[in-house]
Amino acid sequence: MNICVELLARLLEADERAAVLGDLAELNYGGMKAFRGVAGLVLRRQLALWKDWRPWLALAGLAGVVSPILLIVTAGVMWPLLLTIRTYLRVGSLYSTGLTGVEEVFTFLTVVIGLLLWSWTSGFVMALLSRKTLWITGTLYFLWIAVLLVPLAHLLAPISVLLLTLQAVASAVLFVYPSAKGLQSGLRNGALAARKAALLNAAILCITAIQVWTGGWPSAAVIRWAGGTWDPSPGWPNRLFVYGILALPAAYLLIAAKDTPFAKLEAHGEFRGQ
Amino acid sequence: MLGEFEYLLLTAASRLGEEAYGAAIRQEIESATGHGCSIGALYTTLDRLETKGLLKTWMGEATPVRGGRPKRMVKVTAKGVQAAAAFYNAVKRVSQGVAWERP
Repeated sequence: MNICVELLARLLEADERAAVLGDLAELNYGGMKAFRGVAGLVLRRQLALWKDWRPWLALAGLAGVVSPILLIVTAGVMWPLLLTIRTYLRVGSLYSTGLTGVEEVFTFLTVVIGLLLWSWTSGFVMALLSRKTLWITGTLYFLWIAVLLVPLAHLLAPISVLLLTLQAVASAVLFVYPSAKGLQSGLRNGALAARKAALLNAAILCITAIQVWTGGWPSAAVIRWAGGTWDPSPGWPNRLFVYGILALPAAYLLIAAKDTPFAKLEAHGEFRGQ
Repeated sequence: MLGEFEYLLLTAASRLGEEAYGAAIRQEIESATGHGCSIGALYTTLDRLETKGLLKTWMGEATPVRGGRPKRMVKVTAKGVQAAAAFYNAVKRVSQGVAWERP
């Protein structure tokens, strides 16, 4: 059997894959004829999966909105460090955000913890919503890294290699790794128990609230530095909106947790687009 | 009411009896109609008919000629027989007196 056909057939359920490949072997089909046959079935199966609302929510909500926001927040973590390096290399003096040392450490640690939690949860929810369509939704979810790094490369030139490496490492540690672990965990274990989902939500709500609060500190420092003549702050409602979006996947985990009324209705197919 | 391809599939499976499975049904349909039958159409229609309760399927034995892979066996249910008979009778009734009906 053609290796391409075998690989393509991996997108089918195990029983169906065995039956179809067996049929092809028995009919002595090979090459393009076998590939066309399997491709047609895979296409029909994949299209049928998109009749359900879950892959669309994963595509639009997680891959379309949450993923780029996570990457922008990740870039925000590294931005002061990147600016410091860039300013030092260009003009020989250090860039300062205007925050005290304690404030710097606190904001850095809380946003790092927040990113780890948000990314893990997003990956986990992605697995719940889009198990069989992951090859599309998952690819788009992680593809945003390229979209972020390419303009950064232009922006940070001519010292882009070092800075981009730092940004790529930050994206890998704070976004890719926790998202992939969450994805793996979601695929392996399915929905969380209600108690675990509630604990995770409590932690995410705390860290989100802290981010909304501390996110205004750098702007406050700029206002102090400018003597009140310049206010670059987008305001807490904007921060609440952005960080609130990052907290939404955890809310889905709570709603869809095992033994909840939603999970019971879901088990009976009430929410399936069939 | 069944669709045309659903009727063909039920009829082929019914004719094959104990030997009804994916590849055999496919060959039966192709030899009866003279047209190709895609794997995609065959397996998605099998699923649809099973969901409607018109047939049931299960994984059968693996054979060397199939590279050690099992067959998806098919059996038409009583409800499937009724649906196929209703379709056949409707086609027969609607075809009476038309130009292509043979005496």
